[in-house]
Order: sequence, then C-alpha cells, then structure tokens
Amino acid sequence: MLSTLFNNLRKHSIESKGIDFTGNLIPIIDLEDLRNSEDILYLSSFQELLDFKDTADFAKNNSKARACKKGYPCGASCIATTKNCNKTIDGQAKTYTSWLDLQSKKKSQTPKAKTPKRPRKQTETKKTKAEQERSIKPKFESVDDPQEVNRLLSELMESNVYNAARAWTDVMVARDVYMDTDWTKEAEDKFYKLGVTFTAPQSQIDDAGAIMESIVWAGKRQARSVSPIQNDEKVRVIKAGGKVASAVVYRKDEDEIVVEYLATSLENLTANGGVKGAGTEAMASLVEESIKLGSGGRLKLYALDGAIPFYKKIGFRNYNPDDDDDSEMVLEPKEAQEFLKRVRG
Amino acid sequence: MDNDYLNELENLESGVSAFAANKDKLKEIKDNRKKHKEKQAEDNIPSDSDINESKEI
Repeated sequence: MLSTLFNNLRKHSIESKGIDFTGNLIPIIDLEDLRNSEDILYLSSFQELLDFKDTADFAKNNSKARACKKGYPCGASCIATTKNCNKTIDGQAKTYTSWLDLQSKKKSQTPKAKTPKRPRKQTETKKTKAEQERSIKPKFESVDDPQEVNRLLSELMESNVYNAARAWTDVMVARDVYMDTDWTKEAEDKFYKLGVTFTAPQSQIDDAGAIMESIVWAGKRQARSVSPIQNDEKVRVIKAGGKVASAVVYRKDEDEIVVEYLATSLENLTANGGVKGAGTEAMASLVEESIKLGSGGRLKLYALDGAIPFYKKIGFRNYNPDDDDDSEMVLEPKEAQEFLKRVRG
Repeated sequence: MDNDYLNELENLESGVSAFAANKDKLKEIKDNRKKHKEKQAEDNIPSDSDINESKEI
C-alpha cells in the first residue's frame, strides 16, 4: 500500500510539477494548495506520509481513489458495495445506496460541471500562467559600488532561502553525525518552518551556498576598503527587482578577466525557480567589463560541472584542450563579441 | 537580440546556481563549513554525564 501511495504521489509530482523526489526527503505536493500557490510540502517520515493519505487534500485529487471500478469511494480508497463507509470525507456517501443517489443527482447537472478532466486543466492553466510570468524578462542592473554590493549581499544572506540552506546543512550534519539526538529534530523543525522547497540535491545547494558565501566575504573586504583586496578582486552584483539575482568576484589579469566566483541566487534551486537569465546577464556584463579594460572580451574561469553546457553555448572552450579536466575554460574575444551581439543586439 | 539563443541559454542555466569556482578552493570552503557545523552540533549536545545527572534528578 505504501509503495502504491508513494508512486502515485511521485507520478503526480513529476507530471504536474516536473519534480522528481531527491535525496532522502519525500516531497509531496499539497494538492489543494497547488491550484493556488504551487507550494510543496516536504514530509520527513513515512508516518507523516501515511497520515497524509487520509486527508481530504489527497483523497480529492487521487484519481485512483475516486475512479472506483468495482466498489465506491470511501476516504482515500474504494470499498465493496456491501460495506458501509466509516471514513467519509468531504461529502462522501456512507452507504452504496446513498452513493448511487449522489451519482444520479450529478447526472442531472450540466455536462460542464462533471467534466472529469477539469481539475487537471485548471492545474495546467495555472502552470502555464506561472511560466508566462517567469518568462517576462526581468530588468537587470549591475551594481559595483562597494557599500551597495555589501548591503545587497548581506541582505541576501538573511533571506529565507539562505537561512533554509544553512538549516538544511544542519539537518544533514545532525542526521549523519548524531542520528539519535534531539538536535536532529530541532534542526529539521527549523528547516521546515522556513517553508522553502529545494528542488536540487544537497551537493548543489552546498556548492552554491559556499560560492555565494565566498562572494559575500569578498564583498565585505571590498566595503571595508581593505585596499587592495586580495589579488585586486572586484565584486559585482547583478540586481533584479531590488534583489541579488547573481553575483561575481573577478580580477583583471594580463590578457583577460579571470572569474574567481560566480553564482546565481539559491532561489534558482527552489520550487519558485528564481530569476531567469541571471547567469547570462552576469556573463554579458563581464564581457563588457573585459572589453572596457582592454582585454577584448576575453574571460577565463573554472566551470562547475552543472554549468559547463551553459558556458559551451556561450562560446567557451577548454583552456587546455589536451587536458582531461574540462573545467578550466576560456572565452576568446571573437566568441565573446559574438555572444554579446546575440544577447544585447 | 537573438531571442531563441537567449531562451536556450536560460534553459541551460535553469536549475543551476553554482557556476564558477576553483574546485580545490570550493572543497576547502565546504570542508571548513562542515567542520564548523559539526563543532556547533557537538556544542549543542549534552555530554553523557549531563544526561546521567538529569536522570538522577
């Protein structure tokens, strides 16, 4: 029973949200809220999963439970026509006879009201609308002023999503190292209360969090005018809607701009999806900076695995073609200017 | 502006947040964070003697 329930929820999650379950969390779409807010609940134990299956939210949307072929609906499942239902939810019939009455009443209603695919269509419409909202191009702004950069990055670190990332790391440490302590529960409570739903594995959240923390520290050094900051690094924030969309630490080398760190906001790894195009905008602004500083757009960086296809699309190539390690990459002036032309027009 | 190209780039960057960093440096940062978290965890957990004392009370 548990595996069927789990598979139903997993299937629904993939179909309606495009999200598969990751790590050892069991994400369950709160089916009622889905129509309104796209929230996802993360349930931490199988017991919670079992409890959830008895709720009206699950039953109302579990197509298997509703489409009874032999019996009639009772709670989240079907029972035989000879039995009475003691777990009715949301106006369900208690007996087979009363269920038949309900069916004949429904038949007298208009066909539109009983179209079976209606809930699915509503969800799809909602998703399309959300996608449309996300596809509206945000207005990006580059921020170089050290005090403003520091302020924006400090604000970012206090945001829900970064608090959640830190709390989630606490959960992992508590689970891995001290499995039987109250501290694990305390860490989990703290994480769940923040209500952030990550859609990426822990390793990606860790990488992104660590990079952004390094950028934040560079921003602090720059704001304190510890001059010159390490290796003449500069910190730039790409802002959208008053918030940090992406941030970068870079320095001018002899023939190029070297990108030390680049990360977009962790919101990109949540159910909200973050701001689209924040990475592209950061790269375009760095190419412009490289041209301005006399390097013709040339950039060099160490790419992280998940971003390599993105860099290749921009025109980056392996810095050492004979080397097996393809993470060290370079963008030559010709490709840089072509990229800029296509992005800026 | 090439909108198709922009959309392709947006798709490639979607679901990614960590874009660039020297892997050795990144490993060092993550190791330090983990050690720090483990230290915090240790500080939050009562020692065996504390637990025994509270049981006696």
